[in-house]
Amino acid sequence: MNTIETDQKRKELFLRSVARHAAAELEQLRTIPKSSPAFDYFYDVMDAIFIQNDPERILNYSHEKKQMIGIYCMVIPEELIYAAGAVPIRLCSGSFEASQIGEDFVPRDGCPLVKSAMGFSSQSGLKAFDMCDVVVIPTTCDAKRKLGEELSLFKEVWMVELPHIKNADFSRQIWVEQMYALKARLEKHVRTSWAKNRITAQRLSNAIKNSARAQSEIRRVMAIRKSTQSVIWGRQAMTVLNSYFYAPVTDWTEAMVRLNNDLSDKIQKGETVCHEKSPRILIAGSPGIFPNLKIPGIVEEMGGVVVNDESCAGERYLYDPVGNTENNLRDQMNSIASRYMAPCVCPSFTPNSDRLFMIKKMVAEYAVDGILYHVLKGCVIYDFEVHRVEDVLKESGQPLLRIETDYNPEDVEQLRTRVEAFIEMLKARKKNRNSTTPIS
Amino acid sequence: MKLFLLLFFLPTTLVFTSLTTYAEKTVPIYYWQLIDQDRYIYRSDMDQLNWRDIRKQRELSETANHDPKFLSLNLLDLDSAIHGLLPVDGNMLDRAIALMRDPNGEIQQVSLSAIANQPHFVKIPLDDDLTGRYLLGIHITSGGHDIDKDGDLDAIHICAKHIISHYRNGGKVGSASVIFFDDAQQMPFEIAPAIDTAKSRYGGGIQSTHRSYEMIVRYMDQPLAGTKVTVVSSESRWQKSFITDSKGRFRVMPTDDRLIAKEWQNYLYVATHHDLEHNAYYLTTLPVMVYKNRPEWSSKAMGFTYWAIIGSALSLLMVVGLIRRDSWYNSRSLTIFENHRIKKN
Amino acid sequence: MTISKLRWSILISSFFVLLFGAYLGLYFGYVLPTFSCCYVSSRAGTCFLLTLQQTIGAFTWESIVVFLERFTYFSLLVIIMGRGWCGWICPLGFFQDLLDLTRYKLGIGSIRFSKKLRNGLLWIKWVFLSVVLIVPLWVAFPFFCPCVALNLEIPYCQLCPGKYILPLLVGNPDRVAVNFKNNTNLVMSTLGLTFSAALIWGAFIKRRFWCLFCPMGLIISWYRKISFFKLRKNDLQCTSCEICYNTCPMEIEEVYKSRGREDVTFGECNLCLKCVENCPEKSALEAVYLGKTIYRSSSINFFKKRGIKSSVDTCKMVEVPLQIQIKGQKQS
Repeated sequence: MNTIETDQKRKELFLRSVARHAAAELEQLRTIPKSSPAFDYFYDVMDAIFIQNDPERILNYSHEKKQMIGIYCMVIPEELIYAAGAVPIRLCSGSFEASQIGEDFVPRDGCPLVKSAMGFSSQSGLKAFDMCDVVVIPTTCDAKRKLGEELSLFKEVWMVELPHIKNADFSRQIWVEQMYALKARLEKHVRTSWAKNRITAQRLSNAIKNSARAQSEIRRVMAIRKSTQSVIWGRQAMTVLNSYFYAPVTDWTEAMVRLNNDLSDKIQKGETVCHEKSPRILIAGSPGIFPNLKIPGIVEEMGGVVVNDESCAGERYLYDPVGNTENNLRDQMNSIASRYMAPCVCPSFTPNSDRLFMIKKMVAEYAVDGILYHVLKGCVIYDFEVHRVEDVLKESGQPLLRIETDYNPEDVEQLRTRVEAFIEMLKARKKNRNSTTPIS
Repeated sequence: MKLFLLLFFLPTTLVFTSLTTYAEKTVPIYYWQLIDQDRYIYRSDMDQLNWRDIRKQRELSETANHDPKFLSLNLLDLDSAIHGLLPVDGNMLDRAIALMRDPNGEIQQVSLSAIANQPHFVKIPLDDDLTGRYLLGIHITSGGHDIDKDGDLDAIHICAKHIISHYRNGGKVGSASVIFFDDAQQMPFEIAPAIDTAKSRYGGGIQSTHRSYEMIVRYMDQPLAGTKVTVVSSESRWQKSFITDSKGRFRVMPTDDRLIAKEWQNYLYVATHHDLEHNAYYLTTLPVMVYKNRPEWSSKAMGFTYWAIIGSALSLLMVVGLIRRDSWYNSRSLTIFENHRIKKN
Repeated sequence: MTISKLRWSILISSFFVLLFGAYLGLYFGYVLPTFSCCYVSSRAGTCFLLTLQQTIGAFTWESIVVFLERFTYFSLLVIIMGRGWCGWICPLGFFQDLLDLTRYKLGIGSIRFSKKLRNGLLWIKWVFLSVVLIVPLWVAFPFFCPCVALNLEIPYCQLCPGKYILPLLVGNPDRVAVNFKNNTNLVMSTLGLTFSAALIWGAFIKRRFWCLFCPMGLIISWYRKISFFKLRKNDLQCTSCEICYNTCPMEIEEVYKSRGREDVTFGECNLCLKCVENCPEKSALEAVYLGKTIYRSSSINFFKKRGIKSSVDTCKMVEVPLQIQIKGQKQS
C-alpha cells in the first residue's frame, strides 16, 4: 500500500516538474510580441503532451483504435507506420527532469537525450510515452544501441539495424531487408478488428503523399527563413518543428500552411522580429528538443537570430522526399529505404562528408554570420566532426563557437557570457564588412 | 579476239520451240542481253577454295559490280538454230531510240555503239558513281505490216527492256528508285516485276526458282488487263503463257532445270498487245536471270516454336523467382527485445 | 510538356522515321549510331555496325576508304548527340521502353541488378564488340575452315536481337526463323533467337535490359568526353538522396555518389534525363548542351509531379549563386 502511494506521489511530482518546465518555456514563447496566431496550434500540441498530459486530444482518436508506435532518431520510416494504420511518435526528448531519473540507468557520461528517454520510459506518467506499446529504435549511435537493451526492461523494443557504411552495396541490401522486416512486423502488430491489416501499395502511396505535403511546407518555411528579413525566431521555429514529433502529419501540415501564409505575408509587409543587422546564427550539432530551448533562447536573448537548426530535430528531419516513380509496392519500399538512409547525415555514419556539403550549402543560402556548434555531453560523434566543420568554414570565413552542455539549466550563466562575446564579435565583423567592402 | 567473240556468243543463244503461239512470225522479237553474265553471278561453292582464291573471287565480283556493264541488242531466232544469231535489221534500228532511266529518275538517250563488226550495244551506266537500279529500253517502230490480215496496215512497236543493278561502294545513291519508264511517248508498253521500289533499290533483275513473283504489264502508263505474256527459258526450254488479270498482273514461279551445270538460267518475258482501234501492234520483252535452287532452308515455325519454349521457360523462372523473392522478403524478421515480459520475482 | 513526354514523342517519331522512312524517300546512309536494322527493308538509314562488319569483312583498300569516310560521319553524329542516340532515338530502346510501360501498367514491379552483378556482366558487351570487329577479320582472311568463315559474313547481325525483333515490329515475320542451311547458320540463328527472346523477357522485367550488353552503346560511350550533350552536377545542391539511382534505368550509382566532378556523364548513361526530372533539389542535376543548360532539376517540379503545389517561389528569398566552388577558389 505504501509503495503504491509513494509511487503515485513520485509520479505526480515528476509530472508536475516536467509540466512546470514546459509551461515556463511556452509562456516565454506565447509572450513574444506580435507573434502570429498561427503558432497557437503548435504551442497547443506541446501543451497537450507535456502540461495537460492528454495526447489523445491532439491525435483526434482514442488509444484503442490506433496503436501508437514510438520511434527514435530520424531513420525509422513514418510512412510505413501510417500505412499500417498506426501513429508514429518520436520519443527523443529534451526534458531535464526526466534525464535526472534516467541517471540510474545510463552512465554519468552518457547522452542526456538517452537519459531523458529512459527517465520517461522507466517512470511512467507521461502518457505520450506510456501509450506506445512498442518502441522502434535504430542502431545509430552507441547510446541508442544500449538504450534499446535498457528500454526493453519496460517496453517491447524493436531494434532496426542501420548499416553505418552508407556507400557500400551490402548496406543498401541490409537496410531494405530491415524495411521489409519492419513492414511485416507492423502488419502483424497493428491489428484492427474490421480489416486484414496489410500495408498495400495504395495505403503506402497515401502515406507518402501526406508526408510529401509536410515536406513541401518545410521547404517553404526554409525559404522564408533564408530571407534577410527574419520574421520568425529560432525558438519559435524549433517548437514548431518539434511539434511534428507528436502531431499527426495531416493536422500539422494544415497548421503549417497557415503559418507559412502568415509568415510570407509578414515578409511582404516587412514585419520583422529583429533588426536586419542582427547576426544570423546557424545551430549545428546535437539536437535541442523541447523543452530544452536553452541554446536558441540564449542566442536570441543576446541579440542574434537563429536562422536554421542543422540538427536531426530541425528541418533536416523533414527535408528529403520519397522519390518513387511507380506506385507498386516494390518501388515504394525501395524509395522509402533510400530516403531514410541515403541523405541522412547523422554522424553515426562513416564517412560523413555529405554533412559538410550540407553545412556549406546552408551557410551560403541562409547568409549565416556564425555557427554555434552544440555538442551534448557524451555525444562523441558530433564532437568528432567539429574540426572538419571548422575547416569547411575556413573558406567562407564564418567563425564557429563550440558549446558543450547538457540539459541542466545551471550552466546558463556561463553560456550566456560566451555567447554574448561571440555575438558581439559577429556584430563587429558584420559592421566592418558592411563598411569596408561595399556590398552590391 | 576470237576468244572474246566466243565468250560473247556463248551466253547469248536462245533456243525455242513453238514460239508461234504468241506472236506473228513477221514481228521480230528484240531483246537486250547482258554481256559476260557469269561475272555477275554469286558463287556458292567458294568454300572449296583456299583463302587467297576466295579473296580474289571477292575482288572480281566487287569489280563486276562497279564496272560499267555492256548490253547487246539481240534478235530472237524463231527457228531452232542453235548457236546462231540473227542479224539485226539495221534499217529498223536507225530510227529507234534507246533510252536509259537512271536511279535519279531521269531519262536519257543512249547511243548504240558498235565494236568491230558487232553492232548495237550499249554501255551502262553513264555516270559510274550513281548506284541503284537502271532501266534500259529501246523503242523500235516500223510501219506497214498487216498483222491480222484485215486489210489495214498496222504499225509495229517493239519495246525491249532490261533491268540493271549498279553498285559501287561509297557511290552516290539515287534519289528515286524506278522500275518503269513512266513515259508513254517513248516507252508505251512495258513489263516489270511488281516490287516495292521504296524497299528495294537494287533488285528486280534477278529471280530464283521455286519462288513466286508478281509481274505487271503496262500500256501507256496504265496496267493492261487481258494481255498474253509468255515466259521462255533458254536452257531448260520451259515455257508458259499467262493472261494478266484486271490489274494487269500475273504470278509466275520459275522452275529448276537439274540437267544444266550452270548456276543460272535466262528467262525471257514477252508480252504482246494488238490495239485494234489505232492499228498498232505492241511487243515488249524483259530478260531475267534466274538462279538455280540453292539449299537454303529456314523454318519460321521452328523459330517461333523456339521462342515459345524459351519464353515459357523464362517466364516460369521469373514467376518462381518473384514468388521466392517475395516470400524471402516477407520472412525477414526484426530483432525484438522482450525483456519486459520477464517477470521479476 | 514534361521531359519524359518529350522523350516518348521523339522515340515514337524516330521509330517511324527510321523504320518506315524509305516510303518517304528518306535515305540517311550506312552511318547511323542506332539500331536501324539492315533487315528492315523500308528503313531510312542503316546501323553503323553493318558498315564495320562489311568493310572489315572485305578488308580491301576500297573498303578501308569507305570505312574511314563513313566513320567520320558516324563520329560527327555521335558527337552531336552523345549517348542521347540510345535514350532518345534507338528503336530497340523504344521497344524496351514499351515493354517497361506494359509492365508498369500491369502493376508488376521491376527487378534491379546489384552493382556486383552489373560489373560481372560487363564482359558481354566486349564479347559482342569483338564479334563485330574481330570475327570479320577471319571472314576477310579465311585461313582455316573457310566453310565456316564464309557463312559468318555479317556475324554480329546474325546474333543481334534487332534482326529478329525489328522486322517483326514492322510486320515482317520472315526473319524469325532457324536457318538449317549448314551448322554455322544453325548455331548463329539459334543464338540470335535466344538473345532476342532474352531481350524481350529481360526488358519486361528490368528497365532497358539490352542496353547493358549493347556494343553500339559501348562504342558511343567512348565519345562521352567530347560529345555535346552532357549531364552536369552541382555538388552543393546534391543531398545524396539516391533518387536518381532509383529512377535510372541503367542503375548508375556514380551520379549521386560522385563528389568533386562537374561532368557526370558516365559510360552507361543513356541521357534519358529521368534523373534530372526526378531530382528534388534545385539545379542539382542539369542537362547541358554545348555548355548551355537546357534542362535543370527543380524541387517545385518534383512536388508538382506528385500532385503537390509548392509555393516556395512566392516568398522573397535570397538568391543563392550556385557557382561556389568546392575547392574554395572563388565565391561569386
